[in-house]
Amino acid sequence: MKPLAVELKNVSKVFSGVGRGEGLMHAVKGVDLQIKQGEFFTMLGPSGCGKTTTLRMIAGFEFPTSGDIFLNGELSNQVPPYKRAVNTVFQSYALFPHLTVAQNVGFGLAVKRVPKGEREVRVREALELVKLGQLGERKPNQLSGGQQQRVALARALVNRPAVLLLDEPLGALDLKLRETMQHELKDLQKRVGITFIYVTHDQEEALTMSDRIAVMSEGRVQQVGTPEQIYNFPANHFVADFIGDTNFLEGKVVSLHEDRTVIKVGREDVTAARANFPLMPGEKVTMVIRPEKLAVARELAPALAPGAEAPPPAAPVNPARPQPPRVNAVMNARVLDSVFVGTDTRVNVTLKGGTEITVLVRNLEDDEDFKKGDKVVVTYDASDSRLLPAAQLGTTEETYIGNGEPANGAAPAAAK
Amino acid sequence: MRQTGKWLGLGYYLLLLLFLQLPILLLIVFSFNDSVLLVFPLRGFTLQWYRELLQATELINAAKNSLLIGLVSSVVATVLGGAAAIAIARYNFPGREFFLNIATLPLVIPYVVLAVALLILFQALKIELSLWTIMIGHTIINMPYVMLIVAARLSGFANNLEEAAMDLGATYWGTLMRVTLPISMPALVAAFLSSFTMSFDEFSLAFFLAGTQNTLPVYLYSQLRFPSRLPLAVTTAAVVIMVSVVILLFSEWLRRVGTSRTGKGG
Ligand SMILES: Nc1ncnc2c1ncn2[C@@H]1O[C@H](COP(=O)(O)OP(=O)(O)O)[C@@H](O)[C@H]1O
Ligand SMILES: [Mg+2]
Repeated sequence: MKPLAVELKNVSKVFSGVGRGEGLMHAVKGVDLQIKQGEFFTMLGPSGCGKTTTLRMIAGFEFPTSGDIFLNGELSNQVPPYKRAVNTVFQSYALFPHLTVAQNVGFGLAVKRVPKGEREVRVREALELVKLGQLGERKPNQLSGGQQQRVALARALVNRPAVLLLDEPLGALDLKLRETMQHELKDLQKRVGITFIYVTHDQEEALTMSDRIAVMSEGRVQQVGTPEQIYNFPANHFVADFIGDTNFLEGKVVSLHEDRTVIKVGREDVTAARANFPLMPGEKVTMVIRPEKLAVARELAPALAPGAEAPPPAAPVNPARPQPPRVNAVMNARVLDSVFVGTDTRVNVTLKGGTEITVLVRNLEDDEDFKKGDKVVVTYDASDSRLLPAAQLGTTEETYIGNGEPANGAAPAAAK
Repeated sequence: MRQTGKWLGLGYYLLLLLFLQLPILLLIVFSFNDSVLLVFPLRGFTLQWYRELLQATELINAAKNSLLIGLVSSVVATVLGGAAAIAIARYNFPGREFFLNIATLPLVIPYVVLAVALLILFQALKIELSLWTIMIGHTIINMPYVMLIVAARLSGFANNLEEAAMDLGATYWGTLMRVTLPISMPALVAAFLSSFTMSFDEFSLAFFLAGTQNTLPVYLYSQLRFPSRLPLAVTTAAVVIMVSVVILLFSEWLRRVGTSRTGKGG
C-alpha cells in the first residue's frame, strides 16, 4: 500500500512576539490530517483560521511548534523547503519579475541542473499544459492576472512534485475567470494525477473542486469529509453554519424513537432524525435542516395530519408542485415574508414560540403567493435533518464562538 | 482666477530654477571666459583654463585622491549597505528595527560633528590620518543612503519571491544569487553612483580627516586664497559639476528603468 501523500499528526503552531511584547498566537491547534496520493484535498475556513499556516508547514516555510508532519510516509518536520518534493502556487503568484515566463517556469529545473535540452522541452510542455505556449518570452508584468496564475501553476508543475500546494490561487481573479479556472484546475489535477492541497475560504469553490474537504475554524479542523458529507451531514454547528444556508432550531428532547426524535421547539413539537450521539428526554439539542429540504403549503394532505403514526408518503396538495421525494414531518408556521431570488423564492416563516426558519421554494408558474401572516405548514423528510448537541463544549463551542483571540485574516507580514 | 494661479505657479517655478541653477551656469560660463577676474562683461572665449588644468599636477593629484576615495568608499558602502538592506527588507531577525535605527543615524548627524567625532576616535586609537581615514568617513556617511535606496527597491517586490525560489529547490545561497541580488541590482548600481558623487564632493570629513594628501574639494578651497588661481578652481568645479550631472542622470535613469520593470507581484 502506498503511504499517505501528507499526514499531519497533532500539529500545532504558535507564533511568539505578535505585536510588541505581546503574547503568543496559536495559529494552528492540534491538526490531524491524512491526505491520500492523488487526492484533491481542500482546506476550507474563514480567513484567519490557520489554513495558510498549515500549508506553509507542509511546504517547509514554517516548522511546527509541536506535532509531526509526514511527507510520503517520512517524518519531515524540520526539512527545509528546498528538500521537499512539494511545490507551492502562491496567492500572489510570486513570479520572478526579472525573468521571462519561460525562465520562471524553468527556474526549478535550472536550480536542479537539469540539462538545457531537457529543460526546454519540459518548460514548453508545462506552458502548453496551462495553455500559455506562445508567451514564453514575455515578462510576468506583461501578463494578465489569469495568465500570471497559469505561469505560477506551470512553474510548480514542471518539477513534477509529489504534492502541489495552492493557497487561494484564484482569490485575485474576477468571478467569471475564477469559475473557468476552477474547472481547468480540477481537470488538470485529474490529468497529472498529482496530489493537490488547496486552500480557500470560498465554500462553493471547495464543494465543486474537492475530493475531500477539511473545514477549519480557529486553528482546528472541524470536520473532514467529501463535499456531500460536509454539506449533508455537518458534524457541528460551525460546519452547518459555514457551509451553505441552514436553519437552526433550538429545542429540548421530548421522545426518542427508532427512526426519529421528537423535540420541542418553542411550543411546537418537531420531528427530527435520530441523533448519532446518546440523548436523554429533556436534554437540549439543536436541529439543523437546509432551506431547500423544506417545502411550504397552505394545508396538509390528510394522511400527514398530526397524530398519524408512521405516515405514508404524502399526497401533494398541489399536484403541479414537485414535492420532496419523501415527506414525513410537518411544522405549523406563519409567513413572515417571501423574497424572490431568481429561480427560487425564500419564504421566511415563524413557528409557534418564535423560531424563524427559511424555506427555499423553486419558482413555478402557478406558484401561490405567500403573504405576511398567512398560516402555512412546512413539510420535510425528517431524515434530511440533523441533530447536534446544543452546546458542544470542549471542542466546538470554544472554537466557533471564539476565545478572545484576534481572527484577522492577513498575516502580519514582515513589516517593511 | 485659475489661469492667474497657474501663471503665478509657473513664474515661481522658473524663478526657483533660475535661482538654483544660475550659479552653476555662471561657473561653466566663466570657465570659458578669457579673464582672471570673475566679472561681467565677459571677455571672450578661451580654452586656456582647461589647458592649464591638465598641467596642474597638485590639482590632478587631489582629483586622483578624490577618485580613489570615492571608488573605494562607495564600493565598501554599497557592499555593506546592500547586505544590510537585504537583511532588513527580506529577513526577519530579532533587533531588526533597532539595527535599522542605528544604521541610519549618520543621516541626521551633521557631517562636521561626525568629522570631529571621528577625528577624536582616530586619535584615541592612534590611527594616523590618511586617505584611508577619509575613506572610512565617507563609507560611514554613504552606507545609510545605500541602505535606504536598496531597501526601498526591495520593498516594492512581493516578499515571498525568496520563498518561491526555495520552494523550487534553491538553497539560501542560490536564492540570494538567483533572485535577491538580481532584483536589487539597479538599486545597487544607483546607490553606488550616488555614493561616489557624494564622496567626491564631500568637504567636511575630507577636511578634518585628511593627512598629508588632500581631496579635490579641500584643495580647491585652499586655492581660493590666491586670486590668480581662481579661474583654475572655477574650471575644475565646472568639470566636476558636468561629470556629476552625467553620473546622476545615469543613476536616475537606471533607477527608473529598474522600477518600470519591477511589476509588483500580488
Ligand atoms: N508569521 C506570523 N506571526 C504571527 N502571527 C501569524 C503569523 N502568520 C499567521 N499568523 C496568525 O495566525 C492566524 C492564522 O493565520 P493564517 O494561517 O494566515 O490564516 P488563513 O490562511 O486561514 O487566513 C492569524 O490570526 C494570523 O494573524
Ligand atoms: Mg491565508
